Amino acid sequence: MRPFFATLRRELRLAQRQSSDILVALLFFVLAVLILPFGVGPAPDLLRAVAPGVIWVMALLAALLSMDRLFLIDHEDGSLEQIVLSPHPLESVVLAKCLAHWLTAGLPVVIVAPLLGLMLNMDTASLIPLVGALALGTPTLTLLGAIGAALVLGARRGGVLVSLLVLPLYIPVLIFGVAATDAAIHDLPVRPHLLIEAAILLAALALAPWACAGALRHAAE
Amino acid sequence: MGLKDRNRPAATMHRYANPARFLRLARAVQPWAAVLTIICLGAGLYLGLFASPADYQQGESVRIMYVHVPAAWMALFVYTSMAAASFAALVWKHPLADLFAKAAAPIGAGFTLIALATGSLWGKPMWGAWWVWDSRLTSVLVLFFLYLGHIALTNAFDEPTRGARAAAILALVGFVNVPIIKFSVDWWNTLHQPSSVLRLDGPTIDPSMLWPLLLMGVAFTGYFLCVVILRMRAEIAARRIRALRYSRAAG
Amino acid sequence: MSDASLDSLLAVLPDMGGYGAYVWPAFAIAALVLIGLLVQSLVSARRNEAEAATLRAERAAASAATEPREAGHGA
Repeated sequence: MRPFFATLRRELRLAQRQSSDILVALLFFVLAVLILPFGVGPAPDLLRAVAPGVIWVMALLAALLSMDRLFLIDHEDGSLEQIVLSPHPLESVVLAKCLAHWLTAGLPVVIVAPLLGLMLNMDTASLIPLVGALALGTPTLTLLGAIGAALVLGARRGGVLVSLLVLPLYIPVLIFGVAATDAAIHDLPVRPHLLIEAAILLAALALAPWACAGALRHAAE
Repeated sequence: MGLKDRNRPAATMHRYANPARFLRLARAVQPWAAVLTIICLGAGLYLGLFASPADYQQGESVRIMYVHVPAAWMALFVYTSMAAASFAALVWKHPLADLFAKAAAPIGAGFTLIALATGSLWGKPMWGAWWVWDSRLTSVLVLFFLYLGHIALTNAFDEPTRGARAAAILALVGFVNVPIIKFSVDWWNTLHQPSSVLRLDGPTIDPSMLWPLLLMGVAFTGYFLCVVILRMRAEIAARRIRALRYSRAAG
Repeated sequence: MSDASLDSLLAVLPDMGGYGAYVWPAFAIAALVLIGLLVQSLVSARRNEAEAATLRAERAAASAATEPREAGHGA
């Protein structure tokens, strides 16, 4: 467990030092959602209908925005090789980096999402499922994105490539996340969708660090 | 390709890892596969286009099925074989498995494209729309993007073995994700008709339609075999060229 | 392809109970993709194998040319 917390502390300290980066990603999310009424018009019913989908899609893009840098700096300055060669399990280091990424990129999105929902005329009752689904879904986005980020290390045009690789994998998370909020809007049970979202998160939690570690070992060779 | 010897010791697998041995085997298999493809394609096209009856509901448009369904089968089959090859490449470092996955991806993407395009042409008269956001269409579209991602990642590295290893991990991750995508979009929205051939209680399709369908399936499989061998040969030669150039530059 | 020539092409083919405009393009697209892939694979296999053979022949010729000289130095 020690390398896990050591990595987590280091990553969070780094993020704190570059806190403007976090702010930029969050601002992108907020602006991208709030530009919607200018595109489709300010009709309240229309905005309420599309709000969950738009918030989810933008959360997805915001997660991607900072994804490709997850391992890039370590790869470029050579510390990735040291991490790979160290006796500590690589998987726990990966997990710590993912947690740090979620705390700095995913959690802020979850926190501001209800505010954006209110501005798009969502009912207050459907805001709780929105936040719940985002809280369960955004860690999955980070974990799947980390696989993509590890795979493209050393590749040409890695940043764009991450989006191409990862967006198809995001679709199930998106479907069940939006379904949870839509169910709340139509007075249907929300729980099953949230449970599936949680199941996907658990599966990603078990498999993604392993795939990531494999990709990192190949990248450091 | 040595993929069937999974349970045997690695030594047996590596007997087939030798490119020279593979090339000999490939040269022997290729003409037979080509002949099989041509015969089955001819018979399947004749039966499918002229000798089989029109569907009592869908009329003559049902003939699109004879390319659409085998192409969709192949789209899934090729991805599955790529995932199996990627597994072999990562676990046993089998060099030909890497080559196979790289060679198969564009063919799989081609079959997926055919399934999507013919499905769209079938959907227009039957459903009244070129594209519907139905579960089956959507998951095949995602499969198409997985193929494209695999091709892009394979070719994104200066060193080909790095690209092959990264793409192998992606193929396995995508393989885990394919059933999840399938279920998620199944619950999301559905319009596509259920399968009438691969069913536990036997096919519900009439033999006069089943035969051309199966013949086309065999023809597409033979085609895949032929082209994948060609592409692997091209890639083996490309690596040889690279090695020769390198040794000339170094020496 | 212009509409007129497309119409005349479809007029030659069986009209498939009115569905010809959907059935024939479906087969044409499949043929186009499969033949395109086949030709591209054939061409690249031929080209690469020929280039590998010439490179190897060059190297064999080069080593055949240098070896006797080295042997001569030795003697």
